[in-house]
Amino acid sequence: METGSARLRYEMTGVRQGWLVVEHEIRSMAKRAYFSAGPASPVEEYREGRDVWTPAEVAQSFRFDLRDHETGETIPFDELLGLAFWGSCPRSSTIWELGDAAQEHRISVYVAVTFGGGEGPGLAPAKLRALNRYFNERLRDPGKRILILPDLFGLYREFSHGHIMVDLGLTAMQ
Amino acid sequence: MTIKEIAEKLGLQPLTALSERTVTGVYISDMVSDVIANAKAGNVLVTVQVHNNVIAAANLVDVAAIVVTRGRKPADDTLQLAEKAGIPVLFTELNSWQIASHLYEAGLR
Amino acid sequence: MRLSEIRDLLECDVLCGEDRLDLEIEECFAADLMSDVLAYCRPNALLLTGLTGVQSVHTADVAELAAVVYVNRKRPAGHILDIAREKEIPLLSTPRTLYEACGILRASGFAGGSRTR
Repeated sequence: METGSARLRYEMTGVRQGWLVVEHEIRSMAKRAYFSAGPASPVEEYREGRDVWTPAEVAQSFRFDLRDHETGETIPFDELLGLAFWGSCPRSSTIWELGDAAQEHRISVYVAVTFGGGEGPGLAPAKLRALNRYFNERLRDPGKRILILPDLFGLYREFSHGHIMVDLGLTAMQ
Repeated sequence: MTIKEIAEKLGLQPLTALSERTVTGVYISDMVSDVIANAKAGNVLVTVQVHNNVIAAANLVDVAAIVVTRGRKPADDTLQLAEKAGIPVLFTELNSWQIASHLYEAGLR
Repeated sequence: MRLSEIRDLLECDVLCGEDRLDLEIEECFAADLMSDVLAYCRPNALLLTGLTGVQSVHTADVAELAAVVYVNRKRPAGHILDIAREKEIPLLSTPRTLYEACGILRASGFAGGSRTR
């Protein structure tokens, strides 16, 4: 049914299931996140010098690469923590207001949140372009556009799984 | 078959405005990661999930409509978000297996 | 319908429980949300899911399901297969999507799962 798929430049490949773990340092309440490809979700706290890190939130997520059929190149997106949709962010945050205004013009704004936020490597402009192109070249609804922005909004700092597209609670037994 | 025709044929209750969009197939999943990686533009997404990120994932891959199964109803602000994104949300008391059977019998492949 | 027939129809790889393919399946349930499976899936049903975590097997065990079929070619990790072997829960993997799997079973006359508990 996928007509014209031969014309698509990018393809999602190498999908790896895993876990997005957000951990807190017990005393300072510092927060950081990492991706774990292990089969089971990490649950134990551990020491790092004087610090004790404990997993505060664990969600199912995945990693992927994009294959560029024009250049034959495979682009990994390991630094990408996840995508956040404007509409899942708190109302009247900058990203919400921007997204709401853009949505009226059928432009759906997403933010590419990367590991480490401002201190991390971020997503290189070429990768951001590839990601935008990948999602946009699949759209069939005429007039609709996806716009994936870098994390200019500091979503990493205050992030919770609530606004990043990952799977929470799937495995809760009650 | 359009979303409207499917809704009528299967007795699905629209929670947001319907569209005349033609459906390209069906994808069933309760996982946003799965939807992002595998659902195709124009698919009907069948799910029990009702949080905003289902709308976010469905919108990202240009899903034509979301059918929420097993009698779950998204909150009003989630429906508003779907409305803004132009994605019809439909409601059914049936579970995902049952609605899949009906969609399949209606000829969707 | 026998589990062996379902294996054939969905072109499944049998990951474990080869000796239990003569199980008679009367009902199917399609879900990735395990709390939903626990609350709404009846005992002896076949679970079709995309969730490959250890919880899929724990849930199948607690809800007394007959077997689990993973869709989209997904396969749980090795230690999960060990748990399933211990609990005697057959695990299968199909290249089909969840919708295709439901449709194929339905088209082959599988009528089970027409009610919720």
